[in-house]
Amino acid sequence: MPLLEVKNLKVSYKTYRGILKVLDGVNFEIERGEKVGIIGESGCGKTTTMKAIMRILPSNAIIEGGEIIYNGKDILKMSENEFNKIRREKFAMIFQDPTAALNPVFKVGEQLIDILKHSKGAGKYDEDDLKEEIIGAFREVMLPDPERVFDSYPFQLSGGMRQRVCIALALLTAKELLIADEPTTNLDVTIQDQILRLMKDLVSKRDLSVILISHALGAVRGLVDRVYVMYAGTMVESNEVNELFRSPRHPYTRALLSSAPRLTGGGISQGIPGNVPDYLNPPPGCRFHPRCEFKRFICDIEPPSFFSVERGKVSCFLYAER
Amino acid sequence: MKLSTYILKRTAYSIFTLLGLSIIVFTLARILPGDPARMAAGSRAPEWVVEQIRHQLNLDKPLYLQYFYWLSDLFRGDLGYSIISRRSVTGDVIEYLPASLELVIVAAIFNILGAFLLGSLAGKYANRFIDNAIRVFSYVAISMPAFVWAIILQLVFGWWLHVFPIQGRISEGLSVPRVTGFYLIDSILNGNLRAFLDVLWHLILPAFALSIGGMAQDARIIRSGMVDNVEKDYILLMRSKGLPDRLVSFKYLLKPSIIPAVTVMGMDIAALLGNAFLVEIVYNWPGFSKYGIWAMLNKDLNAIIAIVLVIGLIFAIANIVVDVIVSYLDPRIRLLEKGE
Amino acid sequence: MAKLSLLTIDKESPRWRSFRRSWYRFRRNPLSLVGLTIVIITIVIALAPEYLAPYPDHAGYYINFKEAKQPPNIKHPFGTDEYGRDIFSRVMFGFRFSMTLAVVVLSLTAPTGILLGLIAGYHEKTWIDALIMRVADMFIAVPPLVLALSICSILPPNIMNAMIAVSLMWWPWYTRLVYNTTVSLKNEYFVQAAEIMGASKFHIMFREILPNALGPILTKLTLDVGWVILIGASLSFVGLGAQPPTPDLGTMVSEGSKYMPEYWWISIFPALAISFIILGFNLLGDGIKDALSGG
Repeated sequence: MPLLEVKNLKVSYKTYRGILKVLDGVNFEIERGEKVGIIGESGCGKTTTMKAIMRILPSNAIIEGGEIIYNGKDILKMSENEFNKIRREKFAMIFQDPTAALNPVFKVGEQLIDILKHSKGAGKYDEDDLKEEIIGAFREVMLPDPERVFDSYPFQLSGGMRQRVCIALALLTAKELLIADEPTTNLDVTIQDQILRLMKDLVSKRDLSVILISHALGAVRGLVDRVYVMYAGTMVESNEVNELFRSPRHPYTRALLSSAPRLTGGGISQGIPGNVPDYLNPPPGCRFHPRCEFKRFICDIEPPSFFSVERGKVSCFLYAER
Repeated sequence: MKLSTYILKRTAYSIFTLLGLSIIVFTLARILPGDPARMAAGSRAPEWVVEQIRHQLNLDKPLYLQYFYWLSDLFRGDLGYSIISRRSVTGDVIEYLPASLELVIVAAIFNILGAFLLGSLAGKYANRFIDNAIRVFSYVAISMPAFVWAIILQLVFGWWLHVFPIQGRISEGLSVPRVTGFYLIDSILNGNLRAFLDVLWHLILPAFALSIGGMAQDARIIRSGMVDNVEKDYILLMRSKGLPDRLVSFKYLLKPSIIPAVTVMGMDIAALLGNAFLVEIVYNWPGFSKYGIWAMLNKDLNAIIAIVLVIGLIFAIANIVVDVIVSYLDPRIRLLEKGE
Repeated sequence: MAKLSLLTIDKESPRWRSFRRSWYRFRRNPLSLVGLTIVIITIVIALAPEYLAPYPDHAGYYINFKEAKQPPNIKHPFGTDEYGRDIFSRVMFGFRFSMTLAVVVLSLTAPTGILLGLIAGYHEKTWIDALIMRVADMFIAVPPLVLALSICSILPPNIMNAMIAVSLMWWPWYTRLVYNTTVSLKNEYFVQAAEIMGASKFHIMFREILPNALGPILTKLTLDVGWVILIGASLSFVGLGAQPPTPDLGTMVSEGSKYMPEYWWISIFPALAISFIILGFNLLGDGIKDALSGG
C-alpha cells in the first residue's frame, strides 16, 4: 500500500477577481521510502498540492473535493489535533525561499528547539539535549561552525546556510515523508548543486519518502526514482525517471523536454505555443488541449483519466487504447 | 553596533537637535513685535523702570549674547524668569509638570494595552465580525480629535451618567502631601488607599480620551501586521510542524507583527504630549499645558521657550526609549552594519 | 539622446493600466467610497456655504437673544448658540474655514517639503543633505501641536498666523518622506541609466524619481488634510487661531464649552463636524493607500 495517496484533489482559491480553479483532480501516490519528483512550470499547482497535503493552505483556499489517504485514513477529514500528531512526528516540508522560512526576529536555535520539542511527542525534554541533537544535524548538513549558527539570527546567515538549516530541521523531524518545494531555486547557482548533492546523500541514507518539486529538469533527474509531470492543476504523466526522459509520452512532456536547451548543440528550440490557461475560466476537458497539436474531438469534452503505459501512466487520450 | 553605543549616539544627536531647536525658537521669540520689558513692567510703569527691566533681562544686548546668557543659565538649571508669574520658570515647571506627565504616562499605558488587545483580537479573527467591528471603531476613534473625545466622554460619562468625575485630579476633601508630584505615587507613599483610588478614578476619562486615537491606530497596525505575517512561510513552517496554535500566534506571529506598531509609537507619544494640552483644558487639569496655554496667551516668552524645550526633551527621551525597544524586538536594526 | 517621456499617458501604456487597476481596487472597497463621498460633500459645502446654508447671515455678527440656546429642532437642526445664531449654518461656514486652512497650508508646505526632500536625497551624504535634514529634524523634535501652539502664541492670534504656524511645522514630514524614497531609488538602475545618458540632475529628480514617490505623497496629502484641520481646530480651541465671531469649528467648540452641559449642542455639533471631515479624509487616504499598494 502506498504511504500517501492523493485522489482526485480539487482546490480553488477565492480572489477578488473570482474563483481560481487551480487543482482540477490531482492524482498522485508515493510508496514508503520512494523518492518522487514533480516537475512543471511555475503556477501549475505543485505548491498548492503540497500545502494541501500538509494542510497549510491559505484561508482563501477551498477544497472542492478529493481525498488524501495516509495509512488508510483521509487526512482532509481528520481533526486538527489528530493531524497535528502526524505533522509533528512524521512529515516535514522544506520551503522554496529559505529567507522567508525562518522567523527573522528569533534566533535560529530558539525556533528549532521549539519545533524539535513538539516533534517528539508529549513529554518533557531537556533543552541541552535538544540543542545537542540540532548541532549534530547541523554538522550533518555541513554547516560550518554549528554553534554559531545556532545562536544566530537568520539574516546573519547566507542563503545557502539558511537552506541547510531548513534541511537539517526537516531531517530531524520527518520520519516518513519529506517534501522539498524547489529547495534550490532561490539560491546562487554555485550553491544549488552543492545543496542538491547534499540532499541526495542524506536522503539515500534514510528510509524516507521524498517528494522533490522543481521546475528544473536536471535537478530532479539525479535524485528521484519516479517523476510526475504537472500542468495547470493536473498530473499529466508519471513514470520512472529514466523512462520519462528517454521516452516522454504526453504532448506537454515532450514539448517541455525538447524545449530545454541542450549543451550538445542543436540550436534553441521554440517554446510551446499558446499560454498557460486562465484558472478563472479553465478550458473544458483536458486543460492542455488548446496548445496541443494532437488535439482530437474528445479532448475538449472530457478530461482524460490516467491511462497505463509501460512503467507509468499518462493522462492523454492518445494513449487510451492501450 | 552594541546597544550602549546606539543609545549614546541617539542621545548625542537629540541634544544637538534640541539645541538647534532652541536657537530657532529663541530667535523667533526675540524678533517679534512687542516689547517684553514693557509687558513685564506693566503699561503704567515709567520709562526708567522699563529700562531697568530691559537691562536685567539682557534685552539690550545683541542676540547672540542673549542666547549665550540664556544657555549658560540653562546649564545651571535656571530657565529664566517668568514675567507673568513673577517667579522662576524652573519652579513653575517643577510644580506643573508632574501632573501632565502622570496623565500622559497613564494614557500611554492605556494606549499600549488597548492596542495589543484590540489588534491581536482583530488579527486572529481577521475578516470576521470582531475584526470588522474593531475596524469601524478604529476609524471613528482616529477621526475624532482628542479634545472632541474629551468633551464627549465628559458629557456622557461625567454629566449624564455620573460614572466618572468631571474635572480635576482629586476630589475635594481629599488631599495628598506632595512628594514627587505624581499623585498616584504620593498616595501610595502616604499609605492612603482611598486617595489612590480617587486619583485613579479622576485619571480614567482624560487618559482614555488622550489614548484612544493612538490606541486605535496602533491596533490597526498590529492587526494588519498579523494578517500580513500569518501567510508568511515562517509561520507556515511552524504550522506544518503542528505547533500549537497559541504558541504560534502569541509568540511567533505577534513579535514581528508589533514591530511596525512600536515604530509608530514615537509618533503616538508626540500626539499624547501635544493633545494633553487640549484635554487638560477640558478637564481643568492643573498641569503643564494649563500653565503653557496661560503663558502663551500672555506672551510669557521665557515660559514658552522653556515649555517647548522641556516637551522636546521628554519627547526625545521617549523616542530613544522607543528606538531601544524596537531594536530589541527587531535585531536587524541594531545588528546590520551599513551595506550588509 | 533618448527622450524619457514618462509622464505621457496613452491608453495602453503601463502607467494607464496601473492607474485603472488602482481605481478598480479603490472602487471595490466600500469604506473608500464612503470616504470619497464625505470628502465630496465637504468640498461642496466649503465652496458654497452662502448658497447652501439656511441662515447665511448668521455666520458673522448676528444677535437675536429670543432665539438663543435653542435645542435642535426643525428650524435649527443643530440648535442655536448663545447669540441666537443657527449652528447648522455656522458649521457649514466652518467647513470653508477648515478647508481653506488645509488647502493653503498644504499647497505651501508640500511643494517646499518635496523639493527639499528631493534635493537632500539626491545629494545624499553631502553637506546639502546634512543641512536640510538636520533642520528638518529640529522641527520634528517637538510634537507638532506643541510647536504650532508656541509659534502661534508668539504671534498675534488670527487665522493668517495660525496658517503660518502650521505651515512652519508641517514641511519636514514631506521632506522626510521624499528623502527616504529618493535615497532608496537613487541607486536603482533606471536612475543610473539616466545619469549615464547625461540627463540633468533636474530631469532625474523630477522625471525619474518624483513620479515614483507620487503614490505615497498622494496618500499623505489626503490624510494630511484631516490632520491639518485637526491642528487648526486645536489651535482655535485654545484661542490662538481664528477669533470669534469667525465661524471656525474649533472656536465654536471652545466658546460652546462654557455652556456645557445644559446646552451641549453648541459644542458638540461643531466637534462632530470636525470629526466628520477628518473621518472622510482618513477613509479616502487609506483607500488610496490600499488601492495603490495592491489591496
